[in-house]
Amino acid sequence: MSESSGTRSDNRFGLLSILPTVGFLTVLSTAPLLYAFALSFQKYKLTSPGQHPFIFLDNYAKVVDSYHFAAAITNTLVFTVGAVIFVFLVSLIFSLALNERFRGSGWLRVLILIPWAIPEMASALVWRWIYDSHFGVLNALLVYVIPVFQSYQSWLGNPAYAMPAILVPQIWKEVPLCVLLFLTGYSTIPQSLYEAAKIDGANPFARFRRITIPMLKPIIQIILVYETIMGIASLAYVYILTGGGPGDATTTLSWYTYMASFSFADFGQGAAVAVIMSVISLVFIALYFRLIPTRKFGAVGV
Amino acid sequence: MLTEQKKISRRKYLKYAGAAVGVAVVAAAGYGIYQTTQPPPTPPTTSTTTFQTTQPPAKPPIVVDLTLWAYDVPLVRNSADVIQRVYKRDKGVDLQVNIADIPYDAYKASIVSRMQANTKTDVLYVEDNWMSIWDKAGWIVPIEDYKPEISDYIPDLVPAVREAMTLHGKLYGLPYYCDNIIFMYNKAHYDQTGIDEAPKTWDELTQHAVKLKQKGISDRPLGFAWKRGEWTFEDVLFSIVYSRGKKPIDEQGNLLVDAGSGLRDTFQWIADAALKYKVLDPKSVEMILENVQDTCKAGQYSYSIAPSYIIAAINDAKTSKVAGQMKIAMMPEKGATVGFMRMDSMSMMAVKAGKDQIDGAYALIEMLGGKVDVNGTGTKEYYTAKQWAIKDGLPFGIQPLFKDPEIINAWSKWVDVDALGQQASKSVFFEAKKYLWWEDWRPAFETEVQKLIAGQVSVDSALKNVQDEWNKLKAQAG
Repeated sequence: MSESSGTRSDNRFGLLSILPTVGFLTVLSTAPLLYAFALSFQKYKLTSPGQHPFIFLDNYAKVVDSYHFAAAITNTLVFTVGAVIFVFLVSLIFSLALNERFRGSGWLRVLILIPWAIPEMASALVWRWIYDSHFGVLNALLVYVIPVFQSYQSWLGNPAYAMPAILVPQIWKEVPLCVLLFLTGYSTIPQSLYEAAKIDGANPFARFRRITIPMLKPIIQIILVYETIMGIASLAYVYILTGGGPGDATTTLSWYTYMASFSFADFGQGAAVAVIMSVISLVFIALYFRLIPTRKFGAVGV
Repeated sequence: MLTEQKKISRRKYLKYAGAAVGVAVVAAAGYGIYQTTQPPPTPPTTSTTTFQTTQPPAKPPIVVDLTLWAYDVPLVRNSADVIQRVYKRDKGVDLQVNIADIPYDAYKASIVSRMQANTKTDVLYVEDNWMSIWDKAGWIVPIEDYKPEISDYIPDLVPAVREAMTLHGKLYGLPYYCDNIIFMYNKAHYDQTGIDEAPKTWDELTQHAVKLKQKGISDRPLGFAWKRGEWTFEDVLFSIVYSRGKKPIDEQGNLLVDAGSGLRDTFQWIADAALKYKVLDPKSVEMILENVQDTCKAGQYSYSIAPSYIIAAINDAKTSKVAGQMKIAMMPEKGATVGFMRMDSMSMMAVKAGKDQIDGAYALIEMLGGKVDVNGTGTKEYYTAKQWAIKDGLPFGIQPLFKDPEIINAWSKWVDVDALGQQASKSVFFEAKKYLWWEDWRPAFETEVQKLIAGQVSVDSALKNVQDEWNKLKAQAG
């Protein structure tokens, strides 16, 4: 068999192997995305069934001009950036701790996954109870056990606290997966690199900065992309904990797209907001790929 | 490292994959051929055959799909069982009821999805806030068009409820849960403060609340369920407007916010109570109705302006610290209040499925919200509404039930039934809910009210913003 026919055969085999995945992605992801994109250029109000004329950018104009848009985009950016930064830092710290062998570390690795396994709606209801301003466990803790406050605080009703209050559950929910990803990343870094660095006199911080972080770049990139998408799309905590309030302190684009579609009965407007969310995600992703190039480094996908 | 024997070659992979697909295709095709070539089942050739041919063919069962939000679903299941028995008895037809219960928070979105996906839904709960939109979308129908006998219920309905369930002059359903916003106050708190009577005006209420605060009975005696999106938000706030004897909307559908308007006075009262006198709990903006109920039960609030059904829980000796202390008074000033409804309605899907489906769906609707001869004695009764009232304390919107001795007996344990009836007689339907932009406007309105309570906007700015949004959405709706 010649080399070129072998290459062709390899390519054909590769294409055939990924065909089922591509098929699933097309049906479950790309097609709905394209449909939503098309919908965003149509008048699609449920109160006008069967009449969906092409209206070009009218839905986008309506969204930008809406009462909720300015607050929604600002809050979405604050929430997403906050979530990404804190999830990244907290999971990095946890994963470094869990990467060490100590008594119970195996159990801890399992236990830390629990928040990730709880459905978001269920955990939102639990957090609602934790934050309750009259009977909540957090207030009881901060007034009676560790007396930081003299009286119960309104975590979800005070405009200054509301955004941090919905960020905490998001971080709590997302950290486990990222810890897992970091741990996977650590396991792929050759120990010989650390040993060589030690011989050269590098201290632990230098080894972390010069070996761990560069070798983890592909993992870091995945975490940043994933957490950005999760942050932008996060709805349950806003919906259950604050409803977008107090005032418009936690009104986000995900809340807006949900309301536009299911409450205002305007699928066109809802799709336009969803497309705007997708564009924001893409901007972030492009930024990550530019700021964190992974070609030269990395334990995965080298 | 894998050995050569363990490796699967590309050729083998493709061969196995192709074989698997081939088997699947052949199996599917074979099943299809089997389905199309099988002869229809022949009737048995025993004496049963003779019996079957002499009898009229049995009607196939009618399957009615009921979609509801999850509130005491066992009670609904019991009613569904009863109507199955009654339908069989009266019509000789099997009526099957499938129930899909959805959490209230997800209900609206779920119905939108079901309707868009054409998921079978014959009977469904409908809230007055969504009725016009769902009607315009062609999802629910005026039952009067298909079952004119539904109009026999009109004389029994509380006027505000009848108005709420009527669109284009036709009745769209029968009541599931219909209630009024009522004014409740803690009589024991009043006795401790030496105040003899419930407030007669909203300003007097503020003065009383200040006294309660000064006496140390409650730091913030007044709280509302005003989390954004909370279902009673507007009903409660506009009940204050109506109680002032003012209408919030004029005949042309304009929102009234000028000097002397009920909404302006109400906004000013809210701002003063929250910021000037500090008697309105700022935590209201994060509270749902259950939170208000629990806070009243703990004795932390002296007042509640809420749907009447929560008084049952507040005065429940088993769970409440203030059992028996919470009393009803007429809404201050003119006494009017907002009445609202949740109804059992019929879908367009049921209508399109034909007469049998309409009959089955209507029978279920009558069972849930109307009268049925449950025991075969020839006497029809509001069976399910009575169950709701006695078991859960749910008000009904059906006038004769206010005189039902069993209900009066059950309710007397937690409320003055006469006072409740008097307040119900002064309830009005908030007509703005029938505008198609009502649901679009609510989040903006709620946002401004919350900002007002937090002192982020002035009364003037809040009113201007809610009016601007109202006008914009009204213009967009054409």
